[in-house]
Amino acid sequence: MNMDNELREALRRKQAPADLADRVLALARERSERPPADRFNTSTATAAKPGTSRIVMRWLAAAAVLAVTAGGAERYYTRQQAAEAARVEHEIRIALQITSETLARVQSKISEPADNAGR
Amino acid sequence: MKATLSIVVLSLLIPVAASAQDGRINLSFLDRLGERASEKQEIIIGPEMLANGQALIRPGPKADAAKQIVSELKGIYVRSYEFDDPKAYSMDDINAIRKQLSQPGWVKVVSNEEKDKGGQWELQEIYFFQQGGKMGGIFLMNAEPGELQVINIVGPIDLAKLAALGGVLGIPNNIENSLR
Repeated sequence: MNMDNELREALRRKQAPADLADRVLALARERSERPPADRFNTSTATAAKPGTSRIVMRWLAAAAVLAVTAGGAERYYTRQQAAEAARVEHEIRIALQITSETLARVQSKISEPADNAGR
Repeated sequence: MKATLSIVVLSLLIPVAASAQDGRINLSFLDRLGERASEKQEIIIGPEMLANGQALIRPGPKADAAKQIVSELKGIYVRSYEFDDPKAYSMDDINAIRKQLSQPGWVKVVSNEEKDKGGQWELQEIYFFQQGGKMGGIFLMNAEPGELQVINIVGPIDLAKLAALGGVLGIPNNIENSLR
C-alpha cells in the first residue's frame, strides 16, 4: 500500500513554477544572440573567429569529395589502362600468329618438290 | 595545264614515296576486299601500341631480346581475308601492292607463283626493305584462291631475330621451324 501511495505522490500533477516560461524564453533569446562559434565552443576565451568552424568543415567536405573523385578517377584510369594493355597484347598476339602461319605457308610452298609446283 | 597535271601527279605520288621511305606499305586499297571477305582480320599496331607492348613482355630468358626487338619496331600491319568466292580478288589487286614494292629500298627475297590449267593461281612473296644497308621492314604476302594474307612489319627486324622470340608475346614456339 505504501508503495502505491508513493507512486501516486510521485506521479501527481504539479503546477509549474510561475516564472518557468520567462526563464525558457530568456535562455532561448540568450542562445540565439550568441555568436555561432560559441555554440560549438563553450569557452568564449578560446573561440575562433566567427564562422571559422563552418569554413573548416566546408573545406574538409570539399577535400573529402575531391579525394573520393580522384580515387575514382585513378581507379577508372587504371582499369582503362589494363583494358588497353589487354587489347594491345591480343592484337600483337594475333598479328604475330598470322605472320608465323603465313611464313610457315610460304616456307612449305617454296620447299615443295619442283614437280608439284607446275600442277 | 601540263604544269598543273604534273603537280597533281606528283602530289599523288608523294604519299607512296613517303611510305616507301620508312618501309610501310599503304594497304588501305585492300579495304574494299575486306568488305567482301567472309572472315577478316585487319590489325594496325602503330609505334604507340608497340611501346605499350614492351610492358606486356613478361620476365623470362627471352624478355630482354623481345623488348629490344619490339622497341625498334615502328609498326605491324596485317590484313588476312578469307572469301567464299575463290575469285574474290584478281591479279590486279596483287599488282597494286607490287607497284608499291617496286619503290627503291624494297628487295624481293622469296617468290613462288603457281598456276593450274583451270586458271587458278597462287602466290607467295617476301620482300625486305633496306635503308642505308640496314633492314627497315618486311613484307609478306600469301595469295591463294579465296584467301589473302598481307603482312607489313616496319622497323629494323630480321627473321632470325623474330625466330628468337618464339614463346614470347604469343609468338608460337615453333616459329623457328617456319623460318628455316
